[in-house]
Amino acid sequence: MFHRILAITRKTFFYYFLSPAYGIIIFLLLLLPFWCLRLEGDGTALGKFKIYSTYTFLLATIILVGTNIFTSCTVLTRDWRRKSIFLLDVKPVKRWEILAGKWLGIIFLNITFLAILFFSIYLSSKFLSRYYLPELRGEKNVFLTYQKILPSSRKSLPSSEVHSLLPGVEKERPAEERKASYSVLPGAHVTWLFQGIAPTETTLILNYKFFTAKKEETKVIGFWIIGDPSTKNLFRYQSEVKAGETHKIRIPPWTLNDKGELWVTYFNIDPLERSVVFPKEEITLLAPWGNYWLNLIFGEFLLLLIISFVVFLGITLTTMTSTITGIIGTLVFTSISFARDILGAFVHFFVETTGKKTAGVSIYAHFTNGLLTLLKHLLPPLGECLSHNYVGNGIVPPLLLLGKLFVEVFLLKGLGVFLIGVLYFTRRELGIPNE
Amino acid sequence: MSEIVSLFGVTKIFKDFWGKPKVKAVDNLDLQINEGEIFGLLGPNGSGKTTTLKLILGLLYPTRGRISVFNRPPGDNLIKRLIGYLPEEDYLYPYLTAREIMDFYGRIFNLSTRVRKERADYLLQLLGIKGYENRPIGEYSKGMARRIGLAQALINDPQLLILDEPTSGMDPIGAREVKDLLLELKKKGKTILISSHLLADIEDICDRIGILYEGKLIATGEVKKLLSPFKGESNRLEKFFLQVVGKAKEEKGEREKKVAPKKKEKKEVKIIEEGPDMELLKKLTKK
Repeated sequence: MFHRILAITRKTFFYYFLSPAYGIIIFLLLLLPFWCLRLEGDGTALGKFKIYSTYTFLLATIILVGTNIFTSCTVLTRDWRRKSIFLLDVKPVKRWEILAGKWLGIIFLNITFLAILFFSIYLSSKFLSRYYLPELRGEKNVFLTYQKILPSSRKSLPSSEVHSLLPGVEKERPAEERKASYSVLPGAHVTWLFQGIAPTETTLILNYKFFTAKKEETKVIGFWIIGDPSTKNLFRYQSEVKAGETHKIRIPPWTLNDKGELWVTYFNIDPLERSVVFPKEEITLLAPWGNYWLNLIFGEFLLLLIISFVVFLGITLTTMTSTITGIIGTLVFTSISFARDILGAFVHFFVETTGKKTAGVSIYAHFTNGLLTLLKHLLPPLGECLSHNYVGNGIVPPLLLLGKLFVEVFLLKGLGVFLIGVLYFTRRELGIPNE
Repeated sequence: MSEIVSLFGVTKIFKDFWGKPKVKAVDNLDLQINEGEIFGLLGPNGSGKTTTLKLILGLLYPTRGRISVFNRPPGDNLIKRLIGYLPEEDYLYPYLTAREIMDFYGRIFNLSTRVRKERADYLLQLLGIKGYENRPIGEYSKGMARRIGLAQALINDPQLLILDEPTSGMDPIGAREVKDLLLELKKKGKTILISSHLLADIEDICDRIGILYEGKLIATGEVKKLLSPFKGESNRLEKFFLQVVGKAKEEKGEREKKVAPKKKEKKEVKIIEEGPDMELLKKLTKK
């Protein structure tokens, strides 16, 4: 059974993959992520990543859905028109195996498309991370994206605590406060509090830059204690770096407390007794925002779900009708399936949120809700599969949701539609042209 | 000799979109093909030869009657393994090369890579395609495409070979080679069903023939017996064919003649209906 399906899959795959039209699709998919780099975000790296990934996936969805409507509606009817299906049907192949082979061929073609898209996103992301976050150069995992966090407050610890934390520092001077910078006199210390950091297993990065009163070539020695002083999870680090340059400290994730806070204390222990000044914008924490790699995988999985359904629908409709009817039908059903969520949101907004009970709204609501209920039973929630919902905000969609969408889109609706096509196709005469 | 293909009272009516009968392509056909013989199916254009072949292959379903191939219904996957089919036109994928075609159908039959390659090499050599096997089918001449079609039909070493116009478009040397190949296959015990217009080819190789006319089997039997009245003459099968088909045409003409007067009668009735007496009768019946 499988060798027959695989033979058809192989032939279908190579026919499309090697055709010039599909070469253009591959070229478009390679180019698309780089084109999306041009889009402006809100100025932050996070915003840039959001808008970049959202548009990349949205445009890829449009390209791939369009391509697959055409592919799925011609994959069977082309053979039928050319009558090569006659020759295939007289071989020991079951009709469902022909359909399954063709479906699989298109799905493998799409997996290749998605792999190409992934490769292109990888390259463009690498470029993006270099361009927007130069401090992350050398980062092995470019898909791990960071957000910049500025300290929410600056506090001084009681001297007793300081002494217990930092043996060897004997004298302590009150920290000098300035509006635009944090000044630390010799022997003094400054503490910053970073808040709102999501629990993570990945290293945090502290970027800092400071100046001294005179431009000197010798390095400044400082001591860092990172972690909540009320706990014993403290990370100690001695820095010996030049002033006027950006430096980074890799901080282990266990220094975060339960509230998602990170305390960072700098002690000026410079033996030359120089004061140091940290400009306010120059001390930032790069907290891992999300695993972009995982987001991409799940985003592509959701896109594959959409494609699977479109191909199921296209093949099924063309077992019963012609290419043109199949294309129109698939386009209409796919659009309705996407629009269902938009319609739902529309009804929710106008009827439930505004609470307007005018006759027109009531009739509309009644009609639309009825229609929505019907559509809900007939078509899968393709709108929910639009990957921008998940990829953009850096949160991997919950596995439960992925499972739910897989069951609803693929198993219940997609396979359901396909079974109708298979049942029809196995019973119809193939000896006559279908168009 | 056991029967490999049997058709009992098979009728095929093609219907239009609304399900109304459009054409009766095969009419109450009884046909048996025995193991190890070469059977030729003859008939003028539109006589139902290709439809009969498609019914045997399970591509079309009979409207009435029963078909069995290797004692199983047509279209059964078990018997499809034993059949090789060469369609009347080139139904091959034009974008595949001859070797890819052989490889594809070999995979369908689950032949191992080694066997696939061996058989492809053998058949391509046998049918004179060797050396051209890496060109797409779309670039071949009709005769060459027929050779590849025949090669793919033989990839599974079939017991029953169904050939629709096997030598059409071939040069005389190619046609002779194909005929020799078919005789060779017969010697190996294969059963062959050929549909063709080329009567000389049929006469050369067939053991038995059947002549179809308008879906009906108007003559069947052993070639030798059927052609015995024309002993010593040239183009014997052609003469026999023209005689049989001519007779069928005449009978059809007579049937039509018999039907035609009825129409006239109808017209006469109409004339009566339109007459003044009928007007009076209608008025009376209304009252």
